[in-house]
Amino acid sequence: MLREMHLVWQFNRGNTEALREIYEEHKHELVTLAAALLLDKAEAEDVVHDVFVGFMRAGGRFRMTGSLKGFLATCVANRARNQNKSKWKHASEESAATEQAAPDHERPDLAAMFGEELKCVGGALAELPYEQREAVVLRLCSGMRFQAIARTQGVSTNTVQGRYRYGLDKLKTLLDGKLNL
Amino acid sequence: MKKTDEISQIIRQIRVPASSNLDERIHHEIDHAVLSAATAPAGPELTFGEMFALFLKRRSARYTLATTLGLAVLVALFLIRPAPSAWAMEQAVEALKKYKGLQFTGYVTRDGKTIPIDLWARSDVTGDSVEAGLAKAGDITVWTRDNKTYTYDQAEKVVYVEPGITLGLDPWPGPKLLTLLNKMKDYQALEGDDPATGRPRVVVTCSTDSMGGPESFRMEFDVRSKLLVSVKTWGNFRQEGAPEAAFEKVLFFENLPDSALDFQPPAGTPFTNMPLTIPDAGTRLPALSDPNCGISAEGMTREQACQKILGELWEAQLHTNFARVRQLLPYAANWSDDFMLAECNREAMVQVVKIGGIEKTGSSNLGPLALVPGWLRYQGGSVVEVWMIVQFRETDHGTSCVIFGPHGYALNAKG
Repeated sequence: MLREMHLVWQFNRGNTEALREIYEEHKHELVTLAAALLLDKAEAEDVVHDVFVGFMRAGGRFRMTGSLKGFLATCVANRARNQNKSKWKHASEESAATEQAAPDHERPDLAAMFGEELKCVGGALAELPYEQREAVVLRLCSGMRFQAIARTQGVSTNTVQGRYRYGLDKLKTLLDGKLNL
Repeated sequence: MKKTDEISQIIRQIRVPASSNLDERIHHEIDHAVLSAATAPAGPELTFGEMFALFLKRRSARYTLATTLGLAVLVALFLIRPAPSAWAMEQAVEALKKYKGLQFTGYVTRDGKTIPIDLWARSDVTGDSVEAGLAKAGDITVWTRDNKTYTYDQAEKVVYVEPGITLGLDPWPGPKLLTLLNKMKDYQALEGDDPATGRPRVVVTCSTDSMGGPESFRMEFDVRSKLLVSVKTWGNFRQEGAPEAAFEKVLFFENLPDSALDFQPPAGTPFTNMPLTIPDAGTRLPALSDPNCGISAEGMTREQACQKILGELWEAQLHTNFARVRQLLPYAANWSDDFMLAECNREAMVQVVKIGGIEKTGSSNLGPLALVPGWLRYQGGSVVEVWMIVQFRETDHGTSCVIFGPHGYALNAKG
């Protein structure tokens, strides 16, 4: 935490090496988070890129009130949610005119993104309603508290806990017999 | 059936590493963040007055494009006006034709400080575009060479490079420009005598929209020589407040030697790319954030969106669909049809040869920016390369993009 505060302090004074360190330290987690939310690596990287660009712009006046990791993860979640809304809207507009897409669990890009072993996890995540997926991913991939997720989603903590529980239950059903641990 | 904690464990195992492409993009942004952290951000074309203010606080000389364009527009505008004086277009054309070089000397006001400025420029053989230029103000020196614009910041001891000629004077105040300028409006001309010299003078006032927002001018012409002798500019439509720039001396030359336009930074000075940004984008040009301007970029990659919006712009230009041009390129929103038509005729584009991929990315306070090249065939068969800046926005209506404007001006493409 002290190191993180020092990095932020340096970043606020225009030290770009601190900015690079922040990026290097969080990039994989943030891309993982965005990819698990959006299930599309290119979109995930666009989201992370935009979050960092926004973060850079805050240089000189950024005030860290919690953990930097939590802050960046929240930014990624917010952008991913907007991105998902846009994608959904666009897809619903075009659905009548396009052919039926392959079921999510058969998407070849999921294997490329998550690895052959976990591709069915990606497929299963895709089957969840977005709010449930977000609750599960923020909790498990980013270690975010339910209270923080609730603030991000703009709902009560109980609602988030419910979404998380329902999400996990559905995943359990969807993945049953598909993974050998 | 698996237990819930087993599923949790599986989700925690997900790892999607960041690609080298993302690393590259972020480090590129970080490189540019150094610049914006150190001073006010540089950016594309601003107002006429800020052309020189730029030299003081910003590193980009590209602002000179819009500002000097405004100057050129107004010079010609005045000259071609069926004025109370005995001026005629032919005379104005002849007066300008023989001059291939000019020098502006004056000052700019920035944050209450007055800084002297000196600008030299030479047109190409056609008399339509700047071939070379050199401007000095405070710690900043800007010059052009080989279709690139260089900005040396003495305080930071670094040279910023950007593609294209962004120094300004496009179009050069030559005969071809007059046709375009003839369509301009919103000006007044008053004729009188200069008490100091006794020579008859004409004072022209005018305002216009530019990529950097509103600008207004007050320019003084010598009636006998038909040439501009002084100019003041404001960053508003009504010449309110202190002028952003005042050029008290304007000299025209039949030619300028290379030595007048040469500049060498101190040996060992590092060269780096100029960042791409639009300072105060939403404030300067509110239409940039107007969801009614531009196109939706939903479901498209940024590259696809750039291709689409530029294709539509040039298609609209080819078919003189000015309403569509105004919608895609909001800084032209207040241009009249006559002016647009004159602009189209001046450009005389007959075919869009190719729209390239995103060459450079940046950001403004509205969102990401993309710099995209395009190749256009003009009447006569020549192909020119142009760069356009596309602004992306996230609004309640989703992702969309709009064209900010050109980056520098057209270059003759090889082949």
